[in-house]
Amino acid sequence: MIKVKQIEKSFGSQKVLSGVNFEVKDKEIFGLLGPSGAGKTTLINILTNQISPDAGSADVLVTAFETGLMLDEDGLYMRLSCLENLNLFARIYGINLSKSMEALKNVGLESSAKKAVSSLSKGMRQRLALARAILHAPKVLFLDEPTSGLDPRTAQGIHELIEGLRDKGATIFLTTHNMDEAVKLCDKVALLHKGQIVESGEPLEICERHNSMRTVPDLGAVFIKMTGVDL
Amino acid sequence: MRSTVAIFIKQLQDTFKNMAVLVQFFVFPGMAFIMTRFVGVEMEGMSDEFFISMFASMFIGMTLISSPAVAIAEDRDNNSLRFLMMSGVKSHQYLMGISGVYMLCALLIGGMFTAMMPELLLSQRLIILASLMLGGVASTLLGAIIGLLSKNGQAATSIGTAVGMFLGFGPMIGMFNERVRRIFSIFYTQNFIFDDFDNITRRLIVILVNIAVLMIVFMFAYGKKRD
Ligand SMILES: Nc1ncnc2c1ncn2[C@@H]1O[C@H](COP(=O)(O)OP(=O)(O)OP(=O)(O)O)[C@@H](O)[C@H]1O
Ligand SMILES: [Mg+2]
Repeated sequence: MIKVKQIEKSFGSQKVLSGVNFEVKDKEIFGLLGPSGAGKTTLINILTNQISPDAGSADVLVTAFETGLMLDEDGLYMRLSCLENLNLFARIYGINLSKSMEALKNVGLESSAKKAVSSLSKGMRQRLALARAILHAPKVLFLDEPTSGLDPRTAQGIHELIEGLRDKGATIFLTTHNMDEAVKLCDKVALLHKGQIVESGEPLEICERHNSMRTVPDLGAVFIKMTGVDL
Repeated sequence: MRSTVAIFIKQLQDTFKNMAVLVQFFVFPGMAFIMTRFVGVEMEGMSDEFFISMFASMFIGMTLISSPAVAIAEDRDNNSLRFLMMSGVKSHQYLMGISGVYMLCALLIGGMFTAMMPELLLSQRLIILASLMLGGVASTLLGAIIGLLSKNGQAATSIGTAVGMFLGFGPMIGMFNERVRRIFSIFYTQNFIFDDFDNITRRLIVILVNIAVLMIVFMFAYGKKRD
């Protein structure tokens, strides 16, 4: 569904990505892990055609309309209500406005439908941004740190939602620096460090390979072992 | 078309919830009404049109420049424009949707101004409204240019206000100063038709030339920002 080959990207003299390769299969949850500044957001921006790579290719095998997007900045209209924010995009996509309420229900915001975004908490805004991303039932979802800064219960809700979308046939590409999240949620992960993928595969399999099962699988320890850096 | 309508609706909803903008929409006709009714009548030799034309020019020249400028810069600022573009909205559809709202405002508020001059014939009323509407086109274009070129919402606000002050206040100062009047005769804000029905053609041509010039600048700004 997504094929990334030898992607390179520099900003000025700073090389952010130097030869990134990976593949995301149909209907899987793929997690890109890496510390802050590793280039995760840069990679999402390349995959969604917002910036172009210096070298290499990124192919996403669906149309722009079939992708959903949740970026590190929510881009919501502060003065408008949740519902009005979603209705704007429902109109742009030409889908029934009832989908907006449906999406709000999916993220547990139906009771805040009429509230202005400016009055929402961070977690609620994040859920609204997710609702906007899934509004038109996209085939591929790009989620940039969908649960960062959320309390565990809200994060759990979002995990369930993401799994539900996968089970309905969506392919999900997400970034995170939360190792537990990666182990629990992702079918596949890739560890990004110094502009390259240093390890990839199924989370448990990676942990086994590095004898890092201890009592619980510890992907964080693998990361430290591979890079010397903690997340 | 679908996207343009969607943006238009969003901008309309946003405008109604934006007190800072909404107040401006009513302050100018409100002031015109109060001044005409309570101050104008006590001043010798002062026509009804004096205050009305003054505040109408200020409304078109100030509010209708700064509002779209700020709206566009705000959308860029908080990244919402990115999401619109990612969902397939083209820049011209976006700009048409935004401008549409301010054209509607020009029409409604312009209508309020002409309603304050009850002795007018319907044809005169329509001519006034037409000149105000064309002015609205010019202002919205100018506002869009400022919005496209300024770094952020704050910059757009200050540039929009400065340009608006110049164009909106100029004609008022021109009422007392021949030199200023002559300079401002080339700007659209001094060429709205309120009582000068003998010079309709000349005035409309000045406004249209203004629009043409702004259109060219706009294309340039738009081309530059096409990313
Ligand atoms: N537009 C840009 N101009 C210059 N440098 C940039 C730009 N975008 C990103 N960078 C740099 O590229 C590096 C990677 O940034 P990126 O946002 O992709 O990291 P990230 O992995 O998403 O980090 P985080 O976990 O904090 O979100 C950073 O050092 C950043 O400073
Ligand atoms: Mg990031």
